[in-house]
Amino acid sequence: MAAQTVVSAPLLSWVLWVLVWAAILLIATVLGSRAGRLWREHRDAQLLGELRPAMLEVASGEDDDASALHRLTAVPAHRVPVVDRAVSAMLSKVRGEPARALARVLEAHGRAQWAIRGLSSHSAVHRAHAAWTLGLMRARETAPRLVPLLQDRSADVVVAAARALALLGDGSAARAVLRAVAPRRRPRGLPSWVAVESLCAFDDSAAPVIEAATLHPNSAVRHVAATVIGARPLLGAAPVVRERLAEETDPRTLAAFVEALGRVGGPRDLPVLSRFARHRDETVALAAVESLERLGLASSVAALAPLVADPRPRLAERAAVALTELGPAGRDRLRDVVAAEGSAALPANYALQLTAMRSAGHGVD
Amino acid sequence: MSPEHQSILVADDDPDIRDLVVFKLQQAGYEVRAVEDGTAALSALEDGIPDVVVLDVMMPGLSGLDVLRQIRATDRLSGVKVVLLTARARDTDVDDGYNTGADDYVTKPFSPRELLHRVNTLLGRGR
Repeated sequence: MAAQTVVSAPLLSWVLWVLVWAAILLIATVLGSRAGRLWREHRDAQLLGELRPAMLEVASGEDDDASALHRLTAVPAHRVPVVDRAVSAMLSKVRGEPARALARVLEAHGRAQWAIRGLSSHSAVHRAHAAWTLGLMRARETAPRLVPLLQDRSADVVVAAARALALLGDGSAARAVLRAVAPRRRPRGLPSWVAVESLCAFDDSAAPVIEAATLHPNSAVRHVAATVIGARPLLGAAPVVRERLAEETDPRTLAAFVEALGRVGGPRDLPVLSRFARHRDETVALAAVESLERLGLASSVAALAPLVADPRPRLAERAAVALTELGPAGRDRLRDVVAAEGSAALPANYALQLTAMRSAGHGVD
Repeated sequence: MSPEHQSILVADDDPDIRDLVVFKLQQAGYEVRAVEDGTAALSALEDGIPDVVVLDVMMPGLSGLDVLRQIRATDRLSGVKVVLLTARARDTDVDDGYNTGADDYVTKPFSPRELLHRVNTLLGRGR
């Protein structure tokens, strides 16, 4: 027999009242916080409005007598947070002397000390914010304090520290950035593209560390090192790249080395690049085609022309486009291919039409 | 021609950068108009032809490259010089910019002084 539940009318009424009041309280809280935020934004805009011309003067490098800088540094205490937020936002958009002048505003407001204390905060948000602030301020002497954050338990803090170190440009942090790509204690490392961005921004003292990382046991680290050698580019690393090409087993990393050789190598690398352009892994072959194009040698035409008939459509098209970039000799070769009406005519025709569209009005034959 | 008679259109969706570029160019004596997206830039080009357009690449709606294509496809705008001011700094991005018809390419974060030099050079004012 089913049990019957009896709810008294006064209890039901009380529960309903509680629910109604809870709903009213929730709505009031949401509306109140929105109104508060709008009011703060309005107040900040008003406070900043009067100081914006001074900030633009400093940020544009027009503050010859430092009077605008003085107006920003001498603001009353209640305006400091608003000014610092605006200056930090502007700091990420300019470089050179204006950036150094804006950093002096933050320095005068004690932001460097605040940020150094924040590096050891329990809050990951605070640690990341503190690291980024020191980077924005180009406080190069704080680089050793940022390095330990590259092993932080929070991925966001690791990224913020790497990007801050990039702004500082101190090459002595290169080893730590590379270590963060393949950490021992965390499942995920620093994203490759962030590591590449940082290592490219470091001074030349990072070069030997980057070259040495091409031998790292972890392929993600080798990939970053190869990419950085090409992107900086590190011309002195050409012999290292040539050696690694013979040993690399990971296709993605091999492709990065092949691409790097196109940027740091020279005419003597044409034979090896021609060989890699026929590699069974398409990523490697595409990188070799790009490198052959980048070397820009007339003799690259002979290496690229057979690839237009490659059964892999993407590779065939890329080779045809590369030929168009190698001057009249490359384009003449493509026209011959089109005239022959074989299977290679399609990518050849595509590349020639693409060139015609791009060069319309620029006088290219 | 004196800078007072040379006009520049600035299109950038970031108010900080827009205000900064306008301020720097006005200080140098140029007449400057500013808009916040690509569509507004095309409308501004209908209203008057500037000597130089400083274009952000990544803007909501029409991108800077879209605007640049329209400029290069329009006969009456053939004399307009275009500087791309963008955070896109990869080689391929720079190539795309020049291939689309940009006269100069400046990457962010940028030096306002360097941008002014580039604009001066395009307008034959030298250094």
